[in-house]
Amino acid sequence: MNVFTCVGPSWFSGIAIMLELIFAIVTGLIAYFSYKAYKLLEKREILLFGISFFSIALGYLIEVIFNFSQIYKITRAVLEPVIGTMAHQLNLGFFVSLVHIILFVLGLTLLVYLTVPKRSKKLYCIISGLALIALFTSANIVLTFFLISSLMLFGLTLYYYQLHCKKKNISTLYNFVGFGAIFLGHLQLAVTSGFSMLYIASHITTFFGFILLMMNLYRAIK
Amino acid sequence: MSKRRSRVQIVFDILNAVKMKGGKIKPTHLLYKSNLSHNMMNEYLLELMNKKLIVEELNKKNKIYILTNKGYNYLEEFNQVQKFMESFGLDEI
Repeated sequence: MNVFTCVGPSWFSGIAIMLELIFAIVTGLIAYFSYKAYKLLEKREILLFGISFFSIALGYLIEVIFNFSQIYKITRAVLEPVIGTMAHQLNLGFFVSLVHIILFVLGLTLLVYLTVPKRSKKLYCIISGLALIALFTSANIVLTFFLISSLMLFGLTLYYYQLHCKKKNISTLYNFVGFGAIFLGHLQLAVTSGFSMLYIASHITTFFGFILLMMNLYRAIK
Repeated sequence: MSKRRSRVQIVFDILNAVKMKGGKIKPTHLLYKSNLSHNMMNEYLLELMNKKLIVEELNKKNKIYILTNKGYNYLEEFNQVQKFMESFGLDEI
């Protein structure tokens, strides 16, 4: 399995970690409020919505912890004894990226599944199964990940665009533009191959998208 | 045809009806406002009293139902959750 690396300039690595921490916080907060809503209304769809955001938040958080530990050179001392020899064989960085990819894809798959009018467990298994098979049979797993996630994010952007056309309110606009920006951010990462300015631009675009989702959440809970 | 109300929506409607009447309501008014049968309303009232969301009081031989602080908090939380659902399009799912 080949690893496609998208590396930004070294001066940006600290900023990238901060941005990813913000992505983890925003998605984590959406997951928390979804769980709160589920506890009150006991609707399965709300729980699934929360699980999808929790999965994405966890994916970001794992990456943030790893990247942070890389900067302070504590990776080998702290993480390796916990994860063990498997991490040695796979290369710890790749192992963490793999966990992030799986969590992110499963979360996005669940979100896409929720936008489908007629849902069934079989349908979810097919969508997530296809995404995971495409990932693990790919020669370049990271590139495939960015392409798959871009496709799913495009689907979500389209869903929120249709919702915005139907409802025409500020919340649906925030969701539409927010998911649109996250989609563009991922698309930029898919074509970034060695071009560090695009890596920075993708982080900033994604940041803009998550800020819009955060603003939407703030409007709802204030 | 209107959509059938969920159990949680009925609880909200009852509590909201009490709140709209200044936090106190007579059973007859509540029956009219909640749009339920007498038996169903009694069933819900019992549940709400068990959960301490409302309390029953006798006022000059008449029964009245009073919204508790827990009831007010529940309504606030419900409104917040509704807004959250609308904000993320969860009401459409």
